[in-house]
Amino acid sequence: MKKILMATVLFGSIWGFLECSVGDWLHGYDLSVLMAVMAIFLMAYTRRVYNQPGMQAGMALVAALLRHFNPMGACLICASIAIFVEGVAFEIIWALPWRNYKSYAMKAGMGIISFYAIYTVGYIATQILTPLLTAKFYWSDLTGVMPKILSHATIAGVIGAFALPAAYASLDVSIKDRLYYPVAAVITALCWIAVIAGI
Amino acid sequence: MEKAEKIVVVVAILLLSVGVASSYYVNQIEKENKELAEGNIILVGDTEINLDELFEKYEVKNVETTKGNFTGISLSALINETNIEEKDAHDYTVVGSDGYKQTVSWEDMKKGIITEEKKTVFPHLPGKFWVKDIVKIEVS
Repeated sequence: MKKILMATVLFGSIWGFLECSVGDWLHGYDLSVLMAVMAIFLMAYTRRVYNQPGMQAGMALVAALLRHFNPMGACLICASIAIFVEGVAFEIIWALPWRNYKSYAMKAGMGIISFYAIYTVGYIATQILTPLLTAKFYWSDLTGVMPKILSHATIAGVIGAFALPAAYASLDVSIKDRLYYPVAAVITALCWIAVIAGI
Repeated sequence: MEKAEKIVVVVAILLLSVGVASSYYVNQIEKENKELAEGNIILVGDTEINLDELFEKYEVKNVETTKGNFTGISLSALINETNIEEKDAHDYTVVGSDGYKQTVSWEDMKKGIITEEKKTVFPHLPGKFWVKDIVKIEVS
């Protein structure tokens, strides 16, 4: 359990760091969907390696916290909400029994469904929760933005068709316990320092 | 292929079809708004506002945000160019060329700016309220 907790903090910190660096850069080019794809891949990969339900929601919480503490960058509250909701959506989809099927068709199909759905749910959540927390929510704003969300979600879905099978086929990297904790702690600390320092 | 696999494949194809249809819709919206976007014109209610003329007429304002500093014309100045009465009694829906839209109040409009790149910046609101390539502002 200690190892899983460490991994949750480590991968959550890496995710948060990527959101604050690559994510902001991609957002500038209206390509936030690619950041979401990376995050979902990271969740899928860590779920396969650690096989611990709840871990990915924990990673999302860590990443959302890190995103929130970032002194620079775009829309801190929107991004934090989206990250956490993506983690919860992942847990819900991964609670379904689809992993009992080993075929490529199932993995590719679920890749499309999960990447598409997780991106869509995260985006919709920010569109609803952000105005509720900061201003006023209008349904017409959400309906207006839905075609754009679904359009971008298609990119996530298509990538997911390859990314999910890849996450389940990736090679494992093993590291001795003696090194695991110090390396994980150093990487985690570097991620947090980089983000808080605004690097 | 088992039944569960067939269901997953069908749902996946259905989702992608919805996505492709949405992409086509967004593309059509962008085509419809192309004239306004290229002409540097913003439709506010029924009034067409030329952005170049607006920048010549009004003083440029600087706002500081978490994303950096931005300069532009106050959005309230843009609204003042129209014949809208009782401005604080209305909501203002800022619409981008791709159909993205966000509704804000008059108080928000007074704090926000429009940049030369036709982007709204609201220093007091999260980035989701910022709209790029504005083509019109609907008044309700």
